[in-house]
Amino acid sequence: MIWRRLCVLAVVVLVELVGLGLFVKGFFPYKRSIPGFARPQDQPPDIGRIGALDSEIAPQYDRLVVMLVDALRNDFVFGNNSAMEFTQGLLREGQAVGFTAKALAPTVTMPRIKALMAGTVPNFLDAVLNIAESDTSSSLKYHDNLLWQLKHHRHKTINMFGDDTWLRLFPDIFSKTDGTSSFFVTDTVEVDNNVTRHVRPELERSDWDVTIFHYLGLDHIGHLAGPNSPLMKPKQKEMDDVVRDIYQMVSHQDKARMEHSPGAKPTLFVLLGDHAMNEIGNHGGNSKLETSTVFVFMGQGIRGQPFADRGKNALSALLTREVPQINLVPTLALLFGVPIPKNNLGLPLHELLDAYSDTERLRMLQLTASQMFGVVRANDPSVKEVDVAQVARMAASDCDKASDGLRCKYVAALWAHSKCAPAATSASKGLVDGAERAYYDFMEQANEELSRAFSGYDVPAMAYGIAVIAISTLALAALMQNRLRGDAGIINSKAKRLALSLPAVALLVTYIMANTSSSMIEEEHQFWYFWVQTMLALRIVTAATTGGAVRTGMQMVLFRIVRAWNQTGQNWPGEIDIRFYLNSSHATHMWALGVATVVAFNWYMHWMHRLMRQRFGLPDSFDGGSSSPAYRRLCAWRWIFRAAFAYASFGALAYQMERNRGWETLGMPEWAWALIRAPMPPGIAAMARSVYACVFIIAVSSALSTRLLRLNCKQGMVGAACQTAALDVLFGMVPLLVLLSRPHNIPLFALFAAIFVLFFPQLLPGSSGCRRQEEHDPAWTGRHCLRPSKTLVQFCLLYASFFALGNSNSLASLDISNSYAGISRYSEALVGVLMFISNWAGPLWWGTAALASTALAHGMEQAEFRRRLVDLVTAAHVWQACTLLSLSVVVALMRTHLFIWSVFSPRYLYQVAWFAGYHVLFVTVGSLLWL
Amino acid sequence: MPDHKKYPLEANGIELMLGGMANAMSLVTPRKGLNIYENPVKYLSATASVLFGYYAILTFADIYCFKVSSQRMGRPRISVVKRLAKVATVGAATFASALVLMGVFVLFGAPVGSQHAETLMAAINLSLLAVTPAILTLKPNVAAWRRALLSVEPGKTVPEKWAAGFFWCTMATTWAAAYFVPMDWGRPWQRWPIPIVGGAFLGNLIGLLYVALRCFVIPIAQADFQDSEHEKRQMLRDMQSGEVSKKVN
Repeated sequence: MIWRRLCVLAVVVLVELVGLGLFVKGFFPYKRSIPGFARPQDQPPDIGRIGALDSEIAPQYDRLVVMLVDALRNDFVFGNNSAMEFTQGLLREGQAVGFTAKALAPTVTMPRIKALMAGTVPNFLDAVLNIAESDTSSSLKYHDNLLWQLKHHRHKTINMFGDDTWLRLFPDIFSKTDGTSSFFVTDTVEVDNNVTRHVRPELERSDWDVTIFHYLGLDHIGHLAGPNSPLMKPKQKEMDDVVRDIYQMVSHQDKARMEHSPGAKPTLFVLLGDHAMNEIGNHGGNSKLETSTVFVFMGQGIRGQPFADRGKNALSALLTREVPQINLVPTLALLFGVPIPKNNLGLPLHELLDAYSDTERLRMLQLTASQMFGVVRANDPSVKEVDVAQVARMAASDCDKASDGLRCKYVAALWAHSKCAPAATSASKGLVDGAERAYYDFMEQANEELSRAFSGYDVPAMAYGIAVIAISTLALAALMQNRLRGDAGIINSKAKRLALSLPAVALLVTYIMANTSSSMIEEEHQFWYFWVQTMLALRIVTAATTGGAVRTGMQMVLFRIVRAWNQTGQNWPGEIDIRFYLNSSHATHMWALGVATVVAFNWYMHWMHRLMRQRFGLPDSFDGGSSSPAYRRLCAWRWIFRAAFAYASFGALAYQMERNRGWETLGMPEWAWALIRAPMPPGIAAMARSVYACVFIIAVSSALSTRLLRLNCKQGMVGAACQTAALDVLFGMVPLLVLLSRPHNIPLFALFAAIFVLFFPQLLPGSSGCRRQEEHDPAWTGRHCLRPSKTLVQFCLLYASFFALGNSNSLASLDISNSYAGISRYSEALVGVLMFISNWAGPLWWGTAALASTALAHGMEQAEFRRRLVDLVTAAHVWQACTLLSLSVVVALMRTHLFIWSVFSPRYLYQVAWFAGYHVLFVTVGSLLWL
Repeated sequence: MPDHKKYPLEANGIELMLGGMANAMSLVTPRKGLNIYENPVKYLSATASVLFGYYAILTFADIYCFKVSSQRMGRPRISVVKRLAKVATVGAATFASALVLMGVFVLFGAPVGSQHAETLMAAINLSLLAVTPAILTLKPNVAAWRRALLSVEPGKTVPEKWAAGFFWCTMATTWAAAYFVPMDWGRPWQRWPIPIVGGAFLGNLIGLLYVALRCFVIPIAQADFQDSEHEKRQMLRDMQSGEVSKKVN
């Protein structure tokens, strides 16, 4: 019976996976981009000078230095508290031009570099591939980009030092490289020294034309300690020194070069950021802080408005002078006289084109506009080509405004341009301005419409996906309805009513409703916190005994503490939480709490051991009492189990202390720490590996001792052995989770364990260990319709714990700093697994807790327990399928919504991870292993 | 005589109408200084005093929840001191339940370190709207409260229905109103504790309607219907017996 149900379940889930695949294929398509590279000979004739032989405009610059500082927020350069005095000085004197560059979500490095070099609006999949490091399909090798143009049409020699993302994006572009990996985020010093050591030697040589420096340290400081970290100012100063060095070196060289050869052009120096950071130093989302980064253009020929006010606030005007980040692409292409990359959507920055004559500037705008018109045509093939030679003869009203708005604007701009052509240089200013405005008008609208429609969805694939998911949801519901025994499905046909409890139905309905609202997705933790407390409150109200009510009240208080631990979400991420205190003023307490947690767990394991002896009546229940060999072996395995647990838990704590220098915080002298960690192997990776080994030993010893108990104890106690094993697994996984968590989260596991134990009075320390028959209120027998079951509360806790550990539905909160424990080289699969465990630590623990809970409630009979377990898995899948279905529908309906990329898509990705990673791999496969 | 006819019709529902008026009055802000956005504590203490005044008057007159009828039917008169003592007891019990509710608010996520006055005032208002009807109508023991508020079996008495109606309507709406707090609309009324209090008042109004229907309109309509059916049947029987007697004749 059970196996048949499991087979059906597996088939349905596989079908659901297929549906998900279809939907994802339709929803996250690879970009529809124009293949090939732009060539100078393909450029349209200059409409302003038809018939003129040479329409080429000479480039203004010969050489380019790009200094990209990762996560450089605009106030780090322009703000009052900036330590970048040299850069600020240049801006004040008008030697440089600064902008606040607005990045688009996802604000992670790889899509940002793509945008900066190709001028495209990113595809959301880039954000995911940014994490999967080795992906090559996202490289820009076959996409038109600025670097390719510079290399092939101006024969520039391009060097790159810094983040190795560039090397993966542009495999054959660079002549000289030195890549640093951006993934070891705990290092804030070496990554930058690694770049800075190239600045002087490489720039002093004369064989380069374009040099790119990508600094990562500032971003790492943000990730580790936030934008207000004491490390931030020194880092800004360090960056400022690099700016000064480069600026002075380059202007010195320019002077020499231009004296040498009269045809030489100066060097352009650009300081920019790829994205910024939010209040706590993360990025990835779409908030104002994360998207506000900088452009500072420096070099000969760059003349900005000097700031008359020399006070501290002088530059704050730049904080609001916003331009889209992709505007860099056409600007640089025009300044260097190369064709604009084919898929560009950016507009040229007119502040930087001031040095050109009116004719030249209009020509440049024409080039950009015609390139952008190409993108318009690629996305909508029904738009007709415009013959530039004919435009001058066309009337401006010669197109249908309603159906063909963009083409019309393009034609109008060309027409205006051709009108100011004959008089050329002596043309009245008004005509030129009109043409310029017409060009910008067209480009702005094209940019707006294309950014909205750029990632064309494959709507039929999405619809098929939704249909398949809907069918599998129905199938799952039917499976739950026909539990083959037929005694209680969702709808109890005999009693003609829902057999599900009222709170469960309310939970599902409110959850589906919450999924349609962007703010409820951003603040999903609030939803779960609120529901956990609601469930617990309902349990208090409907409690059968006073003791039960008091215990549930204690759970509520404990959960309130859990809730205050990590402030998460997008609307109030900066609120003060316990994490903040533990990481700043009370760091000593953080480690003290960590130690207390580990001690408490070990004490509790000791107590559980005594409880087990009592329950099984050891050693008398074994044949031959304490002298039987089986009993001796059992004792040995239990001893090994406890020893391994102790070693693993203290080892995990020691690993955290070593890694985060916790012993220094605690004021321990170095020799004392060396003494304490003496039992651990030297080297941080070896420490982590020894914990893994011990967790493995825990698993093996638990399995073997359970087997011994089963074989040797009395008939009625077989189920009890199963309960012991479930609790072993539940507590045995704690050291692993401690190892992979952030140190301030360690005490949370103790709180979770306390909440769990409070569900079961027989597990409380001090209880007799036997199942006490709770005395029921005589007037209060039977289950109340409002009373949520323990499993339901644990289900809410499962989701709540995900957020309680500091996660949210934004990609920015994904914790990658703990995924390298014990790994010495990058391995995608291993890091992926560790990343999943470290981010889903709470749900993993509570999922196991639900298993243990089922074992404790129904474990005495094997058949009943198995049936319950399969029921539980089916119910989890029904829940999951309902969520996935509703989310798919919501995402499909909202595909043109403003928040689709910043809110709904990350949520969908998280749901995919929940489905594939959690429900399929962990819940289903895990419980199959258990059976 | 059927049960419902014991209620003198003219006094019936007075407290409900008054309750609606008190509910509305306490929300209307006639003066400029009293503004829930600028000074929620002051505003909420004003609404709380209006509500408490309403309960105090009804308790003092001893007419809350159909009490008029029993008084008319010859119950001994209660002395003024006793009435005052009862008002004071109700006030104390309301305050005690407000403290409990304040704890519940905090457990459900109200700020711990700040805005204590706001939380307390919201709890007092919710307590007045949801719990005080139960305090006034139910006997002070856990079993009575449990039966009134939690059991779903039929055969509840009128005060039990009364207490449960106010309690659950107000609590459920207050609970649901909390969903407005995390929304990112940035409206002034989303500040703590305005959505909660708004939900409580709205829920109390819904409870008012529910109680009016459940304890007043429906039972009387039912009894009237049964009465008329009874009379009809009586008439039919009379007619039949008349016909029979005719035939016999």
